[in-house]
Amino acid sequence: MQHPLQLHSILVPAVAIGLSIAIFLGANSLPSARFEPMGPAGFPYIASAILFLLGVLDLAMSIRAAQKGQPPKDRPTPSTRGRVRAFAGAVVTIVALFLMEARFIGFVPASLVLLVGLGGVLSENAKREKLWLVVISCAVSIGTALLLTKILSVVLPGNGGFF
Amino acid sequence: MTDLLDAFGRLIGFWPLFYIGLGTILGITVGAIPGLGAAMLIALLLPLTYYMDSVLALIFLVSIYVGSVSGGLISATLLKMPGTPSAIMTTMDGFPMAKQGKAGRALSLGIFSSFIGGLISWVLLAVLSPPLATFALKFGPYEYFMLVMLAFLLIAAVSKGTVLRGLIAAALGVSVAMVGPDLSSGTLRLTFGVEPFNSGFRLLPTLLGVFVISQVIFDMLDTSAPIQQAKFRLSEMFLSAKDYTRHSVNFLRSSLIGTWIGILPGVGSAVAAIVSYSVARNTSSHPEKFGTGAEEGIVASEAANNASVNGALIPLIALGIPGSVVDAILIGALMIHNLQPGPGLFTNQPEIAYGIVAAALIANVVMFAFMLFFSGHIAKLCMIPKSMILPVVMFFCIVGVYTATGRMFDIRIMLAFGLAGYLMRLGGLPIGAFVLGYILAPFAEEQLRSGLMLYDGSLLPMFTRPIALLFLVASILIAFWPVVGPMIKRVRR
Repeated sequence: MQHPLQLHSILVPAVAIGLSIAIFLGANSLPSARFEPMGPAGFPYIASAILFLLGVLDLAMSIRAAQKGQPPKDRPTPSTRGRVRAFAGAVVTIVALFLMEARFIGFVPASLVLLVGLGGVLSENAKREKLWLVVISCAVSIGTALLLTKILSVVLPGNGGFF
Repeated sequence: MTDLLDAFGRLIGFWPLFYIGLGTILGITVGAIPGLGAAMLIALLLPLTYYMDSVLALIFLVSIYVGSVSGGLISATLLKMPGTPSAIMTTMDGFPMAKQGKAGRALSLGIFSSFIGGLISWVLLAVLSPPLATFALKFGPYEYFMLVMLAFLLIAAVSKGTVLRGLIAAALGVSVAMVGPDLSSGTLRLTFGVEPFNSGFRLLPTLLGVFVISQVIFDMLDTSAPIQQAKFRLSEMFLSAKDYTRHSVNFLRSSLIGTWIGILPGVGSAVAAIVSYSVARNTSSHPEKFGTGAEEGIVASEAANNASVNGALIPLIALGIPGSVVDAILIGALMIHNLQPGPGLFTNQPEIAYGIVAAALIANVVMFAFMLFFSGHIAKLCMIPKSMILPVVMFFCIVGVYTATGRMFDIRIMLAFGLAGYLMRLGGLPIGAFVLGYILAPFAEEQLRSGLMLYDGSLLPMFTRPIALLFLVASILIAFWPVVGPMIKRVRR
């Protein structure tokens, strides 16, 4: 009895083969060896060849396993709630990074958006937990800003200011 | 011996002892919390070590490593969740013992086993590293190149998933490492005209991305129920001498297994624990008790996983080859401080090499004392909600990368690697193999090109020099064993 090929059984070798072709094309544009037997293109060519071979072998073995009827390995799939949470977390992170780079807002408010936002996405609805989250977020963002500026002399991103 | 005693003398001071103590306690704490681990913590603290003295930075990071492997015992026993992969086998017998009301006894055996495993392997670390480093001075470029290939194959062979997927992960790591300026000629490679790639994918964003951010994504997706904790009393932690001496053979055997597996490049403490547990079960007079609360299981697992830490330091210090994935990150720390890992470390910077050896012993002692008295308190930390830990971890990753590189672009690279790391885990590509490929690729390329220059373009010395040939044969055996092994078994039947 045959089993259908799983998505990762196709994607992983496809990515490996695709990358190997990209590396090969990138290596083609490099100058040839001067003053040494193997120039800057040598190792990329070797890596490209190995990656291509491994990708082809992996694809062949996956097809063979599917034809032999070997059942695919169980991979845990995240729940819908988990996916929503991860997506919301990604949005919060992107917004926070945008704010960190922006000139109209300082480091501490941008950090608070990240910490409180991510914590809010992950928390259960306990009031006490949310209160602790805000307290810890304020302490961490202000403490880190002070550490960076006063001790490590790092220029803060964005407008360079605390607030 | 004089150098080692000098190293101990240098570490007996406020700041060295402070960093060893802090590192060990941080390591235990993070090792106890499922989802975090030594690799994450060390990667996260790498930017902080920029501003530290090299010796203090390295003893701090090594102490974290020692502590974290032991910390996994706490959550494995009390929460049925291994804090680190190396504590997976401890969970099999530790938690059942805890459920039988013997949590203190289980913890005590685990802590004592960790201490003994660390002690025995430390003796081997102190005794074997200097002569191995002296022997490695005879290695030429092809020997080092073949040793790196052996490390890639070993980690591919022992990682989760198939050997092929492990090799693909290692090859991906090698490919990522090649982006940017060529070390010899300065020619920009594989940048495809994207200007921020001209400096390549830097160490910190890559490591933080694949280790930490990918784990954060995993944890965000995990909506499983909160964990329950087994209770115990401090008085249960102190057992009689007879309780410990009963397991003396197991202590010694498991420590030696752990040390040996730790020495193998790229393998690590999880495999050490699994192998030692299997041997203990097969040699036990009551194998049926394993998995139901057998003390021998806890002893075997914990002695081996701690022994593997010092075992893994042996090739790191002596050869510059990481004995585990965490050691690969320690190589990154050495590079950040402009130190060249390898046999030269003993001759050129003995205070670093022997400092690491001495710190490993002191950290082992601190680990023993701290875990004996504070395991219960550490277990409470495991109950901290994810909603507080994950945002702080993410924040420190962003700050850490920005502090180190000063570029917001590197933060985006870190997040991209985080997503890539998560997808790699889904696709069965082991992260450890990827990181090993990334860390060792520049070294492997340098050795190959040096060898070709030395021997006028000839690869023949790879087959005629005995040590290089030995590594080549070992690599071929490991690569083809999954195919050849079953064939030999069929012929024997």
